[in-house]
Amino acid sequence: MNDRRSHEHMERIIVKTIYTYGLVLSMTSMTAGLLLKFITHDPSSGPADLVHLGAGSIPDALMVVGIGILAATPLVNVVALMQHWARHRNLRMAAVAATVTLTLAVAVILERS
Amino acid sequence: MALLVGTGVVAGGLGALVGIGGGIVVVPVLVVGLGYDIRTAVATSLIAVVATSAAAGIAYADSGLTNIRLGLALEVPTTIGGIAGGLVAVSVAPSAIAGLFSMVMVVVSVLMWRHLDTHDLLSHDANSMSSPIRPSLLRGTYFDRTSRSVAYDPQRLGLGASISAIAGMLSGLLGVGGGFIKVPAMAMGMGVPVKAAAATSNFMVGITAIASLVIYFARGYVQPIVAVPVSIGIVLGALAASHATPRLSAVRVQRLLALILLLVAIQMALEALGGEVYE
Repeated sequence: MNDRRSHEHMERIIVKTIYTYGLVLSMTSMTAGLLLKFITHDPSSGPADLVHLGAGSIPDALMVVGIGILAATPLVNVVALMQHWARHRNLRMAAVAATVTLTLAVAVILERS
Repeated sequence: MALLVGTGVVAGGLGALVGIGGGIVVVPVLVVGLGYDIRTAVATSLIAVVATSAAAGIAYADSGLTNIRLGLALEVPTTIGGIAGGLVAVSVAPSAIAGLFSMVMVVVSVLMWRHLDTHDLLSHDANSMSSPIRPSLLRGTYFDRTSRSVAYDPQRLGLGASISAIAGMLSGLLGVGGGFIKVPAMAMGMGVPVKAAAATSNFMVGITAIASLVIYFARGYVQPIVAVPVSIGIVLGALAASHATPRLSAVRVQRLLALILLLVAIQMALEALGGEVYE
């Protein structure tokens, strides 16, 4: 029972740490981009494009990177939990996390195709 | 700009309080109030869903309310449903779906308001405390506002998985997190205490939103100048609201959820009647 509680505690620490870093990094990048856009009176307002970051202005690039980090945060959580469960031989939960990751990968593949 | 940040603050606060992504506030305000294209609004909403989930998730992780294992187990059918919903969305009239959706939401909100009273929640918790010693893989425990340990074993996983798949499909069809379906499903169908259901749903909606967000990102519907101020506002609102949730009574949270469901129903009905919003 105590072993399970310590595992659950560890799971919460993993989730909280990744959420915190993901949120701080993304918000810093987005806020910096937004402020720069105001300060420099940057008129561009194109759609987000993670592949061609260099083609836009620096404020836009910062905002897009921030959005990208934010969007990646839940996925990083799932992958980190999968690794944690696999390391501790909780194969059922590791398989569940792997299935979620694979399903999200299918969404990306479907869109690209 | 201030309007966009303000929209985010309100959406983030409501989203964190009841375990939904906040998209039900973001989409109508951006489209009806500020005149943005529906696709841009939905893409912004999906980013808002992820931001709400992350911001509120930090506080929920500390409280232990989030049942991470249950959330991920239900995410399997939810993400599959989300992809299926996205595929169906290109061939079915969205206004018809929105009309059906609004009727379902009215029924669920009435059920939430009338059937889940304090007595039900307390007796459920008491039963959970004296449940068999051998815990299930998905058992959840947390401390309530009187520092009493509350333990529960989610019931009827098949029902929860089926409803989660439907929630994921609706999420893919309508561009919302789907928490407004998942929370009542977990609370009423699976015997999960409503605050734990809200926190677990909050954890789930961030993951669910990614599948749809990938499509909007790839097709250029994400507008940073709109999404960034809304996201910053939503984080501020979600952080404030999630710190208030452990001090709120279960009845208040459930009633707030019922009101939100009614708002969703009205929004969906209006969109179904004025189908040009989708086109």
